[in-house]
Amino acid sequence: MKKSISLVLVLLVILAMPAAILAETPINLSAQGAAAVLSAQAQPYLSDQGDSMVPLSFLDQLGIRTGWNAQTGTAVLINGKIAVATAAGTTVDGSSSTYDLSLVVRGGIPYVKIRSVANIFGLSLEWNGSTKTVQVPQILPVPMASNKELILATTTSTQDSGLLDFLLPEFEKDTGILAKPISVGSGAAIKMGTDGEADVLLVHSRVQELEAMSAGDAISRNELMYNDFIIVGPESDPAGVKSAGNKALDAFKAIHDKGAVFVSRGDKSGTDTLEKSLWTEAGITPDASTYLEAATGMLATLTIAEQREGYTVTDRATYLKNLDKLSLVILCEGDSLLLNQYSVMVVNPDKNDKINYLAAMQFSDWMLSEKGQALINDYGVSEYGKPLFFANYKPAY
Amino acid sequence: MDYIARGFIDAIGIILRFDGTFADIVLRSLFVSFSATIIASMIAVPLFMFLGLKEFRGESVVSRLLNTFMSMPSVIVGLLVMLFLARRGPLGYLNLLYSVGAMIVAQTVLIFPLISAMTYELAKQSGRSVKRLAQTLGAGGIHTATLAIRELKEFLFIYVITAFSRAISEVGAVMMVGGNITGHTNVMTTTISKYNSMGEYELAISLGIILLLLSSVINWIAYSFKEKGLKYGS
Repeated sequence: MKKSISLVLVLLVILAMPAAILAETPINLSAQGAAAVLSAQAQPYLSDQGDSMVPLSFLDQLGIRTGWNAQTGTAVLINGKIAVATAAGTTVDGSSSTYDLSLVVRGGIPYVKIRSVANIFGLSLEWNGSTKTVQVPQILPVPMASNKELILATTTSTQDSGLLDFLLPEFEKDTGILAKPISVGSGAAIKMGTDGEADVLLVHSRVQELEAMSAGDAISRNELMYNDFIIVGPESDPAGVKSAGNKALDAFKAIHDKGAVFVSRGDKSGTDTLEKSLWTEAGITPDASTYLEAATGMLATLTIAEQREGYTVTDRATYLKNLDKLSLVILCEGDSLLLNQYSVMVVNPDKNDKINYLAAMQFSDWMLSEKGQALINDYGVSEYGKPLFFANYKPAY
Repeated sequence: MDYIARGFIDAIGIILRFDGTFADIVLRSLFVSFSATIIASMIAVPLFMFLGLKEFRGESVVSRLLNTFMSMPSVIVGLLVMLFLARRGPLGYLNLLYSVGAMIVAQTVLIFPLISAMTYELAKQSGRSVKRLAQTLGAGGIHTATLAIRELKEFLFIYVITAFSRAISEVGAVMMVGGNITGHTNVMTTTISKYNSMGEYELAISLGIILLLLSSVINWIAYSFKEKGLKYGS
């Protein structure tokens, strides 16, 4: 009997532990007299040490530009100074700081100590004990890029689909920043970020993106839009891909089994990476005699597929835009394996002193803003009857 | 087939309208290649006329080196210039990459050996008779070179024009160092390449027509000068 009572007690203690953590006192935030706008998951709290911890998104409302690298757990705060915070400590403008931001990640959301933020960036704080509110009476002016030229490394699909020609003039109108797009494959675009030759990246190659984030090549990565890939081929469909019932892997098996020609981008682009991963997932090593690597852009690859009566994987946007020039038909679509997610990444300012990180952050913010997202959804509607890209940015915190 | 015919019809419309975008691309092409030709000629012609008139051991080494550089593919020139002008490259502080300046540098590097090699050979073959004449009149090295340039100007002009047409027709180097940025660094050749990959053949064809017209005008000028030069030479 005694034994079971003690067991119950132990269980109770264990069950109560998470509750104790959750019971850290919730607090409120306000900036310039107005209550902070925060998502339900990202709520400020008073830590056990008595520090007011605020979600990173609150700092944007104080005029501080922020970046969050979830892979390395690094937050970057910019306003005149660059503060870099990890769980291990804080540096300001490259040297270790006496103001530790005490970065904590809870439920995937980064929190920092508002007292240290205020000290580093020269904000004053007030505490209202009756409402339990940290008040920031005066916010900082948001830092804007003085260098109005931005190098955007991106993929051929954003260029060839015409999306950039549509968005960039709007961005320039709003911010005065000229974004110079260098269109290469996603792999090459990410490499430009790694090398510090570009300021911001607009890419679609998740695995490579996460690798770059883990290496600290970028200070933020946000998924902003998607379109999808489709498997296209000749109308005669010699491999019978149509009967694979829109299952991408079955379609690949059919192409391989029937010895049909398959034209690959072969240029380490996002499309190429996805296609290669599908072959791997299907457990097939394509036969060199029927597997052609075009090593060129999407339309050229489609043209080669058409000429050789072969199959290929293409993004829907490029295909729709060139429908009048191609006799290829869609044979497989809608499989979740064929989703094509694009991200915007701000290159790490520590790469070299020419990185135009403020303009890069402005670009990233603009693309994720309501206006940017609406424009993405608008593009192509008047011409093709449906959008070529679907905006899907969801704030992570 | 009809898309080719349609492309040509639309292309003629574009040329006749000569609107902002189109004019911009054509004028930028001319500006970049013209600048590169001027810079390369200003250095290469006097330098290699002077060297060519000098008789020294290792003349054939110079010739061979120049000929090697002359046959360097434009993508290699583009690659080299890109590596030097990149942010982490030795000339990164100039902040030139992906600008018109970078394209002028690349084309200058591309055609410099061409003008140099041709000038050098001309100096060795025809310049030395000018030199003997000049020396009897008591002229020094630099003076002699100036005189030779003046005497052989028709030939040199043809070389300069040849270099210009090489510059304006190349695509690899300007694509790499300029980035083909719409409205900023796109020239005729890179735009043709871009519109081809976008499947918009009309503008590509119209630019192609302009390029062809330009090179035939250039060839026509060069040919008439050659005629004149030959008459003069005989």
